[in-house]
Amino acid sequence: MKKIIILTILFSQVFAQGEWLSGTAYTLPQGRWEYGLFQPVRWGQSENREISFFKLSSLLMPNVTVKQRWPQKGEWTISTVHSFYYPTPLLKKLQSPLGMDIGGPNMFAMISPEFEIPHMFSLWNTIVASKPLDQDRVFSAKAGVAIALGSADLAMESTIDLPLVYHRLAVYYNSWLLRLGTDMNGRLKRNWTYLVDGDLFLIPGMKGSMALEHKSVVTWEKSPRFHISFGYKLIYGLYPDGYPNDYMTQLHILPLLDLQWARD
Amino acid sequence: MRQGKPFLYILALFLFSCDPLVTTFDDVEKAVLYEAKNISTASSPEGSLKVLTWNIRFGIGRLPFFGDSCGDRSIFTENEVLDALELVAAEIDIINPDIILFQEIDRESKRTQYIDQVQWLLDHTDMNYAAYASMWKAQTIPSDGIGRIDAGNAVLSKWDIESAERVQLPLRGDQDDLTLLFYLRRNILKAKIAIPDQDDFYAVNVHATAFATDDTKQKHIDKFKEVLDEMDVAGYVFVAGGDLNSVPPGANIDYCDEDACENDIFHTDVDGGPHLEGSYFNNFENEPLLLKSLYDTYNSAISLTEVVTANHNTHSTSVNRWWDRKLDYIFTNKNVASGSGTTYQGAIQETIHLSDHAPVSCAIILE
Repeated sequence: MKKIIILTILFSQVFAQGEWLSGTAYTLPQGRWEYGLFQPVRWGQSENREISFFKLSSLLMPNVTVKQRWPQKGEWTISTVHSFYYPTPLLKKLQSPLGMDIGGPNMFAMISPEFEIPHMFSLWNTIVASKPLDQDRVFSAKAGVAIALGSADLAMESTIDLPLVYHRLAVYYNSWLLRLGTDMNGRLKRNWTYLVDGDLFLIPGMKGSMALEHKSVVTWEKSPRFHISFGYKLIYGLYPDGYPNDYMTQLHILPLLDLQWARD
Repeated sequence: MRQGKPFLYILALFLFSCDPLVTTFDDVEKAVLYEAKNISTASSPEGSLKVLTWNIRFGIGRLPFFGDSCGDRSIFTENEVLDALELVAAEIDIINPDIILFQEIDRESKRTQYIDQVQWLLDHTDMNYAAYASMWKAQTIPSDGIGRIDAGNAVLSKWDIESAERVQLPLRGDQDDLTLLFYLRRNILKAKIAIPDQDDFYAVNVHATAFATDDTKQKHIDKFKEVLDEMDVAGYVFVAGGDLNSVPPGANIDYCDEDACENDIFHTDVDGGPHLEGSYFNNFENEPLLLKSLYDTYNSAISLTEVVTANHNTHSTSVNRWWDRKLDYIFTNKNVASGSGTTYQGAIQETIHLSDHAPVSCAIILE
């Protein structure tokens, strides 16, 4: 018990509760807002509940995520995360991104206009457990399942077979998928923190049934209200293939850069 | 969950993946070689061998592809493609060629469910070896939902292919840079085939531009003839052919009205234009005579006197219209067996349903 108290005190001095730690079980303090160029808008709705959404994609893919933190069990902080996505308008837009008036009607289309995109939505439910390892590091593990409803009529041929996209949209083609992951957040120096994470997508029944994603990000805390993050994301995935194979493997790496702001 | 983020990464993604977004090619590079899953015994050619050229329209038969035929589809189901390939393989079994020149053959293409059609046709016919040269290869084509693509030319042979090279053809000169980046990079595929008792035998496959409105087609035919001339001077034996996308001398040159889609209107300007890309064969000086030099220099499957007859037309853009022009040819620097030149317009199978091109074959006399 003494160890837990010490660790908790030390941790709270370095990482204030949930601040800048979106991938952990910690929630934002009540009333705090965090938002980034690419990160979702997060809001501490209460001391143990956080609400977030992706602002840029919200117009075309309404979405909301609720993270609920449960009473602490020993060293572990446990939360459940529940997300809702309605991708239909976005996928329809990807069939004719510029509309009928600019360029060819199907210019930049990532999905062939021949396919009907039904009204469908997905629910992602994840349990996240976080534990401070010492005063500078916190470890998180997560496991989740996503289910899709209303996507039965979605043609399998309409997939977007690209990294990051294929395995996230797979839930609409397969009706469900599993997601497992771990995060390690830590502090390098006074104003420098890091995040190393790994995520595994499992989609039993799909031709491209697996993706392993790894991200490493270093963040410079210019002030308590402004952070700059940069790093990379590595994606190793299975993608659909045809005769004589069932799937192909691909490896991609891409740079990450984000600016994040906060206000209380 | 971070489901929204991927869409913001897409653009940067391609710059850092293991494969380039669009594959470009050297002027000359090695082609991809294949073997059938099960090698069947190939006998000696006994003085002649049968060569077939066929643009198989990437194994979709006459389904309404958006890129031609006024179609509205980009992506085809696995069953649709396999059904079409079964019919192509059946036609090949009947014709029984020794060497095949395929154009528009797909592998790893989303539009045809990533089926490696070169391997599939090797494994489902009596052909044993193949060489492949891509003309369109990209991780994704950001238009019409095409996605990943790898389409090109292939040479299939009953005998071993010792080596094969891909010769780059000039790119179209009438496109903007962005379109050109994602557009086709056509090629000549040159395969050296180990034919028993015949040294230095090459099969040469070409698919010239269809839609260029400048003189790109002239450059393609010139390059094709240059490659053949070099082999001829070197003393090599060749059979060469493919979809030249050119009508023979003396043929009709204007198919704009025949190929027009609903609401398309052509020939309204004083100078006779506009014309439908790919359906008009007089875009530059002497285009109607583009193939004359090939006919003048080499022997052909279908002679110049027969070539403008309806019996040897090989193409139509609609399944509802019979073959109405000839675009597909075979040439050789050896002799063609008299009367062997054949255009398979449907006497054996209803080839009109197998592709928008009819197969053409002939027998080459080796001695």
